[in-house]
Amino acid sequence: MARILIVDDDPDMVESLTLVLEGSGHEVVARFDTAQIAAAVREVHPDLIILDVIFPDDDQAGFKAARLLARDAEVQHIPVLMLSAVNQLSDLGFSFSDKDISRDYLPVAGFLEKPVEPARLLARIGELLRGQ
Amino acid sequence: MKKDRDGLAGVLHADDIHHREMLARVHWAVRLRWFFVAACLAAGLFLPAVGLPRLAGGCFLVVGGSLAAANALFGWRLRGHDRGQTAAGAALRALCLGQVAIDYLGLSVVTYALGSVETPVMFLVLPNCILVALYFPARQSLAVALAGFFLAVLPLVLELAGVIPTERIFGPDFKDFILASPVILLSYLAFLALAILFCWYLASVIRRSLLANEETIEARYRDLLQLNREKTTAVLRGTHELKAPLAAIRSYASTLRDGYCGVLPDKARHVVERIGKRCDRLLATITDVIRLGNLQSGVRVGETLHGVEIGKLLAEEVAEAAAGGDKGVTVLYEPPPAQVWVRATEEHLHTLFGNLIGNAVRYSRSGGAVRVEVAATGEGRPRVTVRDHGIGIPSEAMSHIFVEHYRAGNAVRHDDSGTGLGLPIAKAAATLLGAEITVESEIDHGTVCTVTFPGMTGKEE
Repeated sequence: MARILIVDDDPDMVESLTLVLEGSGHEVVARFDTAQIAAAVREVHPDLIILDVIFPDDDQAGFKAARLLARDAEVQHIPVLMLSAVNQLSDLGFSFSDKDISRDYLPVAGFLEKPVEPARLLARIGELLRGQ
Repeated sequence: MKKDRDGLAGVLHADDIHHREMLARVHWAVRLRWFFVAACLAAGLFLPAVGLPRLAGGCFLVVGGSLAAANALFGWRLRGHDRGQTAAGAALRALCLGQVAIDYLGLSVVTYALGSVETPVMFLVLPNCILVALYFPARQSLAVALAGFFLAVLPLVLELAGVIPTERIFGPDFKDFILASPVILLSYLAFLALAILFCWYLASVIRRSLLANEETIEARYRDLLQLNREKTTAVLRGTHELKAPLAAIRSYASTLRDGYCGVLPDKARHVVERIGKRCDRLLATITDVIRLGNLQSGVRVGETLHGVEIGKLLAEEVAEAAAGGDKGVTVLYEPPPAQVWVRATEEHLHTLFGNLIGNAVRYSRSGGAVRVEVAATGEGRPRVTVRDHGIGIPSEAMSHIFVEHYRAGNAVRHDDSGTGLGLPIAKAAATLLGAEITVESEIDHGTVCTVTFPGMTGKEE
């Protein structure tokens, strides 16, 4: 089983994700903002990071954190699963899917839209932990 | 998807507009000069035969040949500008000045060959004065206009000074009469100078006005971009505020339903499932309302329509629809034998056909089939047809199908989870792409939605 770091400002979402992940045997550590995210990753040593996009002080904090982690040689190998409630809204400049994952634009290993069914979340996490 | 985060891609600045206009005019001048080249060469070859002095014929040939060589050089340099191989503004202005200088010199020689004051040919200096005044700052263009005047009257001055022989084409009386009368001669020259100054002044005023208008338009456009960015941020934040709590509630419901908080009694499990489904419907409605609002606002910052190969995009939509359904509806699609291009954005096409194909699947009966086809109209316009054999639309409901939130009675009875926004969203997306959408339906037999795009001959159009 894996150690998973959840970075999300919504405590309810963190709690429901934690229930699912811990119920499936994973160990969960939560952070509620992206400040010092690289330091948090070094401290927690997660096998996978679940990262929200929109935070109260910055609409693109998740993007910025993902790009920061992607440039950090020490932590860039850890898969990041991006999770956002806002997606595929025309003209918002904020529409993406797994197809848009790239080193420059969306440097993460996977993307899921909130709310996500527990089975789908666990399946995607399993794929990412197996390196798919 | 827009990856241009500042939303300023494709915005032309006033300088860009000015440069593009200038480039177009210089192209036009080069094309027009070839007619003058042809006219000069024809005059040089044929006019001596009808009594024009032989010197005049030779001058026309020399001017025609020189203009042809210079024009070929200008054309070659312009192709460099078109390919962006030369510096934009300054180099183009230098090229324009070079053309004007060559034109003035040619005109000066032709003026002399045609007896200077005997014909009004020296007034041909005026078009160049106007052109320069339109594209150069006032002082520069005035200097060029005055240079044009002096080059136009130079042959006359040199004739009067005895430096070059006096050339006549209408016999001695007319020209000698003018040259002998200082009042007439000065009046003639003053009239030419005034005409040049008048044209320069008029064109300069027009230029100032055009530049002021361009700057105003650019400023307004930038204001609109800024407003749209602010609107986008507000909508994004508002959407997040609406969807995030619902997503959390939905996640809790799923967590409870799947037993992560312990096994639920059947009744409790049923209630939790209903909570989850109502959340799903509310989330779908919020998403659709915002999507429709954005489509109807019609603002596409930093985003331009471009050629999209629709066959591949439809294959993706069909695969997604086929994978997402739990009613056993088959979605049939045979890609067109050749690539079909439409002028669009991928995002709007996904929105358009995601809704049409999703609707067709939704209103099909279990085990039914939906067929998606791409063809071309008689005029060569790409046409996509989505055909189902489902519940159909009652004839009395047909006039309301594009009304927001409207759902026909049989649609509600068949599936109560729809938002009534699928067709309005599809129509809004089609309208943005300049496409026409038509719906034909027969109750209990199915519906055919047809989208016809504007004609496009290939990828790069």
